[in-house]
Amino acid sequence: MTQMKWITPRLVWGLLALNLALNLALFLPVQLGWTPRPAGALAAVGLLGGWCAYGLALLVCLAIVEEYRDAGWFRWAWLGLTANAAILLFRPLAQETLAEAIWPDFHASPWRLLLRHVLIVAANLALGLSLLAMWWGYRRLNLGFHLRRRDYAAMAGLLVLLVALIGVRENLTEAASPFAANRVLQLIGLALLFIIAAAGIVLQRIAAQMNGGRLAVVLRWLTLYVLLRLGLVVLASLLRAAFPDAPWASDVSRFAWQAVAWVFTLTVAYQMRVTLVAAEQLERVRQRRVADKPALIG
Amino acid sequence: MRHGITPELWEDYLEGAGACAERSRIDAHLHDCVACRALAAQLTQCAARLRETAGRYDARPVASAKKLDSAWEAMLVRMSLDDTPVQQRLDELEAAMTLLCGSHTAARALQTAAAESPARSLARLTRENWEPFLRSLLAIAQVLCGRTGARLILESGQL
Repeated sequence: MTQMKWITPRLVWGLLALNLALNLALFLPVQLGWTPRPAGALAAVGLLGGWCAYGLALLVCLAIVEEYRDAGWFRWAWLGLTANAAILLFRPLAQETLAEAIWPDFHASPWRLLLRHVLIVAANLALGLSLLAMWWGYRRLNLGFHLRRRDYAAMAGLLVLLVALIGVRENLTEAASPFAANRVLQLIGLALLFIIAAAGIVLQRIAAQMNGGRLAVVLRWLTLYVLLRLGLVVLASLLRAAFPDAPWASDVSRFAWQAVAWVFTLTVAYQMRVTLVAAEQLERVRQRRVADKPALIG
Repeated sequence: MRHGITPELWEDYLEGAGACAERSRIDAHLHDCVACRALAAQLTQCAARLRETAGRYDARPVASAKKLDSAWEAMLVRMSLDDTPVQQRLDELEAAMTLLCGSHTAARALQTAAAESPARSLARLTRENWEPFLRSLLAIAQVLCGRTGARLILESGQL
């Protein structure tokens, strides 16, 4: 873990800012009518940003899995988060036009969308299972964490939103797809996203009841990550319905997804801080013990 | 003096005497501080035992005041020698866990670990039953904070 202590939250914030600044530098001149849309450059920034964010997250996650080797359900939870990062590392391949360099006409191919939805469902499944493992781990510890009425109300609200979205599913990207697999996979991915968001509400409650501490910060960032993922899917659907022919709507959605990748990296960077802070405290305890020894002998 | 509470204030508090404001202040502190809560419970238990023992010896001839004073002094010294490391370690464990998992989690983890150990409660923790308590807390810390966090708990809790 100590080999990776250079991956600090400050570094991740810096990289997130750089990624968004690069996007804005490419996006704003287009909006102001100064330059044509640099599709290749935008795709390259998106691809590199996503790889960088999930690549760093994957490295840290692997170290955290090792840290939680003897922690039962929490080990499974971090294995799930590692799988989520690993799967999402490949997701840009199914989205970006750069993939056409390897596979001509890939962007227009129905296999691209199938690959995209398979990756999304797999990543959501891994994330959902990891959050459920985390919740079960906390429950088994029996430390008095409990849900409140407003949490159940928020979960009921999510269920209503899911039913509403399925009701107006013609606004989903795959609604008109001739491939039944794509339509079904998109709906499964959406349902999983809502389950994940519900698990996020549970984690937020646990973080609040911890009453401070480094671990609560991690849980809050994880909650933000899962809620942002759902929020962006809903926002993208609304934008698509309101502005069906506006290219900026899809650009805004793409920038936001890139930021979400960095939120995940921030979450794991804060989790790594838990271990590093524990290691610092451990060193202090050892030094104090050594300093106390002569006094006891004397 | 410990956490702003002098031995005299403790005595008044446990006997139900003292100023109302002071009692409220100590009540509020005990609500938040696991270590002082354990100390208060231990002192209450000790006072009850003393009263019981005093009752048993009421009918017997009283030893000289000097002998009683020196016995009382010896007992106080022994108590402080016995309990200080336990209290100190409880404080250190609570501080370490609070930093990593928050004050509520720390308090509940200590209580759960004590309940699962032969001590059954924080108030009954002594040098003799400390090890099983620490092992139980270690298992909780390992799940919450990983191996490094558990190692911190193990070393902070060594008597």
